[in-house]
Amino acid sequence: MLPVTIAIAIAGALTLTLNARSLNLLMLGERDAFDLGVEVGRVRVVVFLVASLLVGSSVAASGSVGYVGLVVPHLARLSLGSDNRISIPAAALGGAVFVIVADTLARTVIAPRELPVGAITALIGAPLFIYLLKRA
Amino acid sequence: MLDARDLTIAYDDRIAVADVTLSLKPGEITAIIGPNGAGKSTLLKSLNGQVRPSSGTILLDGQPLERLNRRSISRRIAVVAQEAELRFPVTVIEFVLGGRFAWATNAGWGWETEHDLQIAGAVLRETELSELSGRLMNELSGGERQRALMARALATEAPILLLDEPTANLDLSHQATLLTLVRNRCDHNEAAALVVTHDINLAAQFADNLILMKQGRAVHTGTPEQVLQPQILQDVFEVTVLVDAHPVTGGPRVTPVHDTYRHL
Repeated sequence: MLPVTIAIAIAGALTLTLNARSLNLLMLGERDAFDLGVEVGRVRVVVFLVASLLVGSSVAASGSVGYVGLVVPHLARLSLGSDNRISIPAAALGGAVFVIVADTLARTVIAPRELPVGAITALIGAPLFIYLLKRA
Repeated sequence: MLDARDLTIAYDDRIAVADVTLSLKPGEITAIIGPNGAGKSTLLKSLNGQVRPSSGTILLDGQPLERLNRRSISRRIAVVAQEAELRFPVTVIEFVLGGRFAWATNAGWGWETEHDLQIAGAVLRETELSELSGRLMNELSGGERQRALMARALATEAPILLLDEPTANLDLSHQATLLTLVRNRCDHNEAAALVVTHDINLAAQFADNLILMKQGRAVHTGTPEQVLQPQILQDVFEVTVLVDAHPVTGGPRVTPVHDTYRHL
């Protein structure tokens, strides 16, 4: 199971990153993107499919771990700007780091017993999320 | 450059454009005028593939438009809309660099080249936006935003410009400034422009050819002098008009005369 998830995660993150310039133009609006040369229909289908695959495969592998997807991409965008060429890979990397830190905490704070990772991500993520919501 | 033959565009059962034939030539500005709902914008949208015609052919440099891929069309046809969409905040320079997308060899992931930045710098100077290049688009005035749209279209280096009511949100001086940019592009770069507008007098001043549309049909085409005649305009717009010579250009000047004043 794990090799499949890893393969999907790498291929998916790469595919999204390789559509970053089209996504930048799509952020302006579909009509503008079309006029500037983006194949809007193709990019939309690819992004929907890949995003679903990424979410589905990671949840299947790890169970539901909340707040990672809610908080990390927003933080990446806020700190590094909205250019998808940077914010997409940054979100992928940031999400991985966030989960590893949370997992390490979950395994160590009350060792030898373990906390669920989701509890830790929620503990960090929920206040951050409220902060982000208030900012916007 | 761009030739449309017998274009018909139907939405469900309504025919928006019927049997329109037009041809854009280097150095010429063509203006489409006509009442609301005459099919002007629909016609314009079909010329870069945004709306698919029900019948007829569109040839771009001799090739059928529907067989060309998006990026090769966008390298040759630039569109200036009435307003920018702006769903997300972007700076003026980012916005204008969007015009270079169709030229990118690394269109998926990669940065703009030195050449792209030079062109963006040049068009920002041309549209007098250099000082605003770092500002956010939604902080600009309507006139400045419209100039940014124009700058982006110029940045594509496309020899064909399609403009859909580009002056609708602009004051008098900015209307002329914008169309002067179009005129310069046509005069110096052998570009061709097609402008949809409601402003007949602006069209008369800047366009080489006029296409007068009514109910989807191109009812009259020709030079401003040929098309802007009182009888023709009265038939199409159903309003009494006065046509005299423009005091400066000598071209036709159209003034609608409201019914209240007809007895004078």
